[in-house]
Amino acid sequence: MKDAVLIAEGLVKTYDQGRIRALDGVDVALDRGEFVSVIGPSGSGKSTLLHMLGALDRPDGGTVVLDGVDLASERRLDRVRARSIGFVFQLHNLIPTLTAAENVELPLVALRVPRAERRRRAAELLEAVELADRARHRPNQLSGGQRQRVAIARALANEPKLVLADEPTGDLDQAAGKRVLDLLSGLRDERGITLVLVTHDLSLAERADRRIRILDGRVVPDGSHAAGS
Amino acid sequence: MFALKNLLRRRIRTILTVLGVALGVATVVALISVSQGFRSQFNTFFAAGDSHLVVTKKGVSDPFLSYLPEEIAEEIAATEGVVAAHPFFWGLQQVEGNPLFFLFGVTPGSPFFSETRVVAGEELYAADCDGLAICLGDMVAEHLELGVGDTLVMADEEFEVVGIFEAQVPLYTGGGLLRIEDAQRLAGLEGKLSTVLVEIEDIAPEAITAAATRIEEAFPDVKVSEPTKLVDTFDEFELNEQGVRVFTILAIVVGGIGVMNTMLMSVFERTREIGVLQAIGWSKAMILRQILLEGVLVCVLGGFLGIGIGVAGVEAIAMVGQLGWVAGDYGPRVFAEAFAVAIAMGTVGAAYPAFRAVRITPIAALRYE
Ligand SMILES: Nc1ncnc2c1ncn2[C@@H]1O[C@H](COP(=O)(O)OP(=O)(O)OP(=O)(O)O)[C@@H](O)[C@H]1O
Ligand SMILES: [Mg+2]
Repeated sequence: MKDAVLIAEGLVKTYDQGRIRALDGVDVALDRGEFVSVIGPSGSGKSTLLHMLGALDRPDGGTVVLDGVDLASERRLDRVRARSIGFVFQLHNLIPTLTAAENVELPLVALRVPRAERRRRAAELLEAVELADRARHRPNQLSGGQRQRVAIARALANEPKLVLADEPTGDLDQAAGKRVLDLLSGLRDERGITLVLVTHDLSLAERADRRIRILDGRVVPDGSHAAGS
Repeated sequence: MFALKNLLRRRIRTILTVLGVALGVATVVALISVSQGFRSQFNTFFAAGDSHLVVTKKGVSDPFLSYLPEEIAEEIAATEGVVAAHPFFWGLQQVEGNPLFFLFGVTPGSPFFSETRVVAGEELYAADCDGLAICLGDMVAEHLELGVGDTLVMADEEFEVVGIFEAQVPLYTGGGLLRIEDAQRLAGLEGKLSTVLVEIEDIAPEAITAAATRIEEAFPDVKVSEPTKLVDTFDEFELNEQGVRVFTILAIVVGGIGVMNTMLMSVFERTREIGVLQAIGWSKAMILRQILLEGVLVCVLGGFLGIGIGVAGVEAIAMVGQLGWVAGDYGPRVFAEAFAVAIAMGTVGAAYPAFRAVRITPIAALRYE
């Protein structure tokens, strides 16, 4: 294996006192700078997997090692998220009272980055997502695609090793969705980020270096180009 | 900035909460400043002039309840080191248009006179008046619309106003000076004194203390205080302070409940946002601090407003003629307490909502629609 940024082994996550096995022994390894897409039917466990990889929740079984740190023995998952992870969700989840720039600054607040530096980085990131002219707009003054691009800028603010995107284009039309993905994959190339993309859109999934297919909480061999069905 | 923006989301709700806090703080400000004002007025009551010691009856809870036998003044005057001992009688009298009228019964040459300045007519004992004479404080004279030569009726007795005086202490100017025997008769306490004002020879601090001890030893029934410390020796003022305490705690609880209600709604509305903040790296401690900060911010705003309302309220009361002797004391303590109350309301009120906010997990919040 090359330079792995994340290794997850035997991940199990159950809900409802074990009645629902959302993840049932999943192994995932991600190389640094890799772009991986995750596909699978609704309810198969894609979001759950992303939550485990992104230190949002702890698995009931198995291990996640992120950049050499075993998350099971890490008490402060919030610090792991603050330092190493960037999330983009289906709904943009921006704070409605804050401007685009202020939303982008939020992860840096958690890292106690001084205000001037926060401002500078937020401006730079909004530039990178081609929204420099919308820095002072609030989310309700932006289109869906623009909001999602602000969310991408926010996810990159802490210079994460790993960006996890859960159906970031799910709420967008084809064109806006494509633009968001262009941006994400462009930034991945530019900044050497590892990108995991959960999507139902096979044409988008295809653009990844590799696809992981999930079914009933397990990784199954990807029928690759026979997809579409 | 973030906290303020969160509060401005629901302007009306925030304004109402700020108002609720402000009313609580205003009440506390009014109570403390009036009771402090009362206290400091009493403490300056005998402080001017030449009285170095004030003699009251031992064991009474209120200076108004101190009664001493008349003869004691002469006996004290004969004590070693004492230059003079002036009998003094104070009472409350109802007169038409003024239910709380202070009477100060004095003897000729009383040190009490040195605290007043006659602005019209004559001094009480200097006046040429065959009947009953009274000198009025300027505030009460104005309120009762009486001038020199007019007649004031108290308990069916007619008093001629022989002079009007002004004074620093508002309590004085809300009352009248009259001959001690008249004051005693009006109160139905002939032969009784309230206090004895004592002048002593050597006024070095240790000599004053020594004289006080000598008098207390010679007269087991009395208490001897320095004028500026008079009220500190009475339980009544202590009780009053305790009343203020109890009320302050009540205000904190009531205001705190209002803040809690607002902050709890605010936290529930923001469940998803709070989860997102955690997802992008905010710690539970930061979330906790954020909610507490918002609660305290509401209360600090309420605190400023409350101080304004409280001071305005006290001043408004003081403008009502018959309550003109109410004088707010706005020392630093009043404002410190007002802010302490406000911060306490914010902390008490935001504590539970903050705890609820911390219990929100990012996963649950992201599923929350
Ligand atoms: N908090 C929870 N409580 C109970 N069941 C849950 C919870 N979270 C997830 N599940 C269940 O776990 C399974 C996997 O859910 P998950 O959200 O990971 O699916 P998904 O692949 O992301 O689906 P979708 O494509 O619809 O987003 C589902 O059966 C879901 O109902
Ligand atoms: Mg999902």
